[in-house]
Amino acid sequence: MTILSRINAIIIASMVSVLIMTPFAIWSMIEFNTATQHEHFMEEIIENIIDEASLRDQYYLYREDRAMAQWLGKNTEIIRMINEELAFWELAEDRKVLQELQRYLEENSRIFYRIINNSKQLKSVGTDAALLMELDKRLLSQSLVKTAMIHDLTKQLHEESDERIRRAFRWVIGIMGVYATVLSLGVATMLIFVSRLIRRRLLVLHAGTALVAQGRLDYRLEMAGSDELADVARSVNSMTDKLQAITQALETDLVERRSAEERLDRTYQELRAKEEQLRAILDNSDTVIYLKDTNLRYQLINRHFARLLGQEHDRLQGKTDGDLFPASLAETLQANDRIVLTCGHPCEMEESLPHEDGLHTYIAVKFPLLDSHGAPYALGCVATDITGHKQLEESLTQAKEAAESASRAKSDFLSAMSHEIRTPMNVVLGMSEMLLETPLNAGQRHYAQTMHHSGQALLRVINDILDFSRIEAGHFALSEQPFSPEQMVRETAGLMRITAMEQGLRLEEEIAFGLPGTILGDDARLRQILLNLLGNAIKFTHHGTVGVALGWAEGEPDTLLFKVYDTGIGIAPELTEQIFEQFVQGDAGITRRYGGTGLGLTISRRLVELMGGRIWVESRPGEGSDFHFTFPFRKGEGLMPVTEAREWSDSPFAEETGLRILLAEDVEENQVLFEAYLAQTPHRLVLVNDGLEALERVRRERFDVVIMDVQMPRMDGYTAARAIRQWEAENGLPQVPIITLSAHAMEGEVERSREAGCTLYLSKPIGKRKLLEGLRQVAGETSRVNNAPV
Amino acid sequence: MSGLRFVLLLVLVLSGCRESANPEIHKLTVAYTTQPQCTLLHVAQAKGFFAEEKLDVQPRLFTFGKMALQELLEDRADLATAAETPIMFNILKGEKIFVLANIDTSTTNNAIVARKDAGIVQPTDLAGKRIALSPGTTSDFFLSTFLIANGLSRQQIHELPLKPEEMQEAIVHGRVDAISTWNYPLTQIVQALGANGTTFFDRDIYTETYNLVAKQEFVQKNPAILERFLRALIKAERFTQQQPLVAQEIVAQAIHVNRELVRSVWNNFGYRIVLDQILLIMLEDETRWAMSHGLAKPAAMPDYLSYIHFDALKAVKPEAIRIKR
Repeated sequence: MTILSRINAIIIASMVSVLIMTPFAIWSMIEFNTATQHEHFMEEIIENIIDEASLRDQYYLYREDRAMAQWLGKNTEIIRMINEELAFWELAEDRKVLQELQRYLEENSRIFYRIINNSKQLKSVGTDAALLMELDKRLLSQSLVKTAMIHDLTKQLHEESDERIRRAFRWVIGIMGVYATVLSLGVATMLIFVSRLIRRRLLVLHAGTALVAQGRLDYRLEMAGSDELADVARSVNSMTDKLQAITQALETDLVERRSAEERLDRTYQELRAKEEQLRAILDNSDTVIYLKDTNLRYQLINRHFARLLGQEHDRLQGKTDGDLFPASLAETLQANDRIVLTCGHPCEMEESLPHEDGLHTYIAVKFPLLDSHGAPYALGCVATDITGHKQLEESLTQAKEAAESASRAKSDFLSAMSHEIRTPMNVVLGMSEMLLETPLNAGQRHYAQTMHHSGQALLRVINDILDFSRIEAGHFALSEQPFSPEQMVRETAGLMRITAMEQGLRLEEEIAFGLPGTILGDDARLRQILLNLLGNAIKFTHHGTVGVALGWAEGEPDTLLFKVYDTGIGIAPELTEQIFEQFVQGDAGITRRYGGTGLGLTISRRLVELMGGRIWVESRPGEGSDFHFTFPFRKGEGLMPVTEAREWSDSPFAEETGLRILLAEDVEENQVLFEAYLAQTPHRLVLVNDGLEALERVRRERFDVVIMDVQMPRMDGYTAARAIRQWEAENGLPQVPIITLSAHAMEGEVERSREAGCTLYLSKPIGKRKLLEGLRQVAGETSRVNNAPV
Repeated sequence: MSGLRFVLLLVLVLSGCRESANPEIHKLTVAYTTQPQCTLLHVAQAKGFFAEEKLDVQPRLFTFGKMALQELLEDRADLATAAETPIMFNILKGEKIFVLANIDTSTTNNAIVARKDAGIVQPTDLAGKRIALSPGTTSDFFLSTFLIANGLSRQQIHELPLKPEEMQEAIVHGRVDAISTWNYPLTQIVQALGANGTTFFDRDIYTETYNLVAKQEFVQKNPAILERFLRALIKAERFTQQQPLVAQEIVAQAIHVNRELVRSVWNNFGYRIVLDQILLIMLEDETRWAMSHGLAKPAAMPDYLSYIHFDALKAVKPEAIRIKR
């Protein structure tokens, strides 16, 4: 509570007390007024009664009518006054006395009349004077008695009226006294209270502020309440709080500043040491190091650079490139500097600097030095003489180019070899196949079959060597397309089942539940690995079971685990790693007994690793082997797996519907082979020798399918295919299916075929079955371009 | 020395206080009457106001004040009550008595009751009739005054002196034609006569006073007791004014009369303790009457003021003293 509030409270309390007293004061004033009026009335009555007594005495002495009339008038006047006054007298006691007075006055009046009558009788003749005179005495006595009574009552009323005045006066005085007392007490209380409070609080304030002034900043004034001085105390406390905080902050600041100075000193010493170290490094470095200001004047140059320039490095300070180098070189260097200062980040650039033996090439790392606002204030450079490296690099580049050239030559050789071997192999195999379809005796059939199998074996060897060489040369590219892993495994197993059955083996398939329906990957290569492993399993197993299993690789997300197992001869533990090396088989005896190039597992391993997986074998000699490999795949939800031609290979379509086929082939043997393949089919073959002829025939005639060799004189297959597509587009004609044939069997051919607008790509050698399946595929789905090799 | 004096004075004051605060019970014989004028004494006795003042009051009740006063004069009572008439006669005879206080004043207590069958229908009819009175009492004085107020002299009637208690029988049985008497016999006789009775009042010709009287010697010896006695009467005066119905019951039981009788005459009396001028006027007036009628020897008018004792009443109720001295 504030002091002002307390003062106000005391004043209000005093005023309330005075207000409470006011009705009493008013009442006492009214009472005093009433008593005064009574007193005044009684004085009038007494005056009249005295007058009346005087008149009565005058009458009794002389019995004059004048005195009698005056007495009667006065008596009547008194009674009338009392009658009127009675209405204003409130107290029952007073009224009773007044009424009694009135009664006595009336009685006195009556007695007076009797005295008058008696006097008149006395004056009459013949009346008994003695009796009348005695009666007169009795009546006079009674009149005196009444008068005495009247006087007594008047006196009593007068005294009571006096008493009432005194009482009212005492009330007035008392209430005024109370008024004065209450007000005095209020004022005194207020003064004492306020002065004590203020004095006490001022002492506390004085003592507290004195302590604070002496430096006792931890001292706080203790002053309860909510008055102004308590507010002052709180303000002083708040001020002291802040003062203390500031003082503490200053002390802390001082300590920190000292500490900082010490640290600064240490840092300075360390910086000196580091500068010396840096200077030593700079001066002992055989690298050119310098700093320039933004005007590109040298500010710092290491000893190596100074030596290079043939000057004392102190003298170089403030010089520009123009002062040191020929104009064109200086211009180039400064242009580079400006680029770095403009771009604001380090740049690596080649620069030349003059040496005694001519210009040397440097790799200069130039960097801007930025201030706190990110603006460059200097340019630094560390330049390394790479003249030797440059020369080495050039020789290496030459070597690399030579190697690449050699590699290209090798590839070209392989490609050429592939084409050159495959083309005659195609003919050999095709002819042997055709030969087997003719009537032969047993010996001839055996020779022809041996020839055909040997050709196939040779082709496999060639394919393995080609694959291996491509992998080794790094030219092996994997394709990625959607396929069903389960379907792929089942089809692959299906391919090998007949071979297995021929050896009296049972081939099992185990597909785990919950595998993805479609994934992305190179299904052809996976199929190649599985075929290799299954082929090995069948080859090395004489009885029992071989099988392929597909499931999840444990602990590896989105990774399939393939397993090919057998109950064959098994592999010795020490050989389980070696068998994946190139040209290694179990032992020399195996090669002799089972044949093979020893490249199959090596290629499989390389393919698995190219696809991001790993391959390993668990084997027990004499019991069998389990080959495992993993395949991390990409999910291919929403994609449809490519339907393999094999799905409809047994469709009667080809046999029932004859196609008009244009074959563009420059090699006569191949023309003969195709004619032989299609001789027993409903298809009709039209032969041309190159692409140009093919284009002309297509423009003139209608063919169901066009088959073109890639390599042809005058116009190769791809050019001709593009020309046909263009002509079709220009004439708004439907696209005729185009099958391209190539003996290159190299990666990239498929893409080239697709780009040329071909419908299907077939690699040589092309057997009859392969050709017929290809025809079925394109004739059934002419709009679909599928260039996957079949 | 002054300290010792102060201590002694203190001891005296304290002992005096103790004595006055705890007085001994004083036995007091008071002769008073069964008349309405003695109401305050009956109330004081019944309400224990005397006992409160340590007074053991022994009442000696009489039918009228003259007999009670006689009891005092013959030393069988310490105090007595009587109207001014017997007091006046006894002072004229030389009795040393003091009037201590006037305990009642009335102008309607006295009346003439007459038998109609005696041919009395108006006051003048009293001439020649047998009228009973109690000599030496207010009955005597009232009759005399009533007669002259009606133009008759005492010689024109046949007076028959009777005690108040004898009057009812006398008038009821026709041995007298009229009587001059006071209450309660007055009302009782009026009721007894019934329609045959007629009553004459005249409030303008007589004011009766009733007074407390003691011998001067007693007064001088027992001033404190008189104060206590008067204080008890003043208590009774206040009680009677505040609770008149209870006071009426008390009186009815004390004098063995019907309460209705008491109530019927109640307003004719004052029941106030005073000493006023009326007593002196009446004593002197009656003295003149007594001497002129040969009831007392002619002599100088006594100084009745000296027969009034003021100190006792002044001590307990000073405002009641209205006699101008």
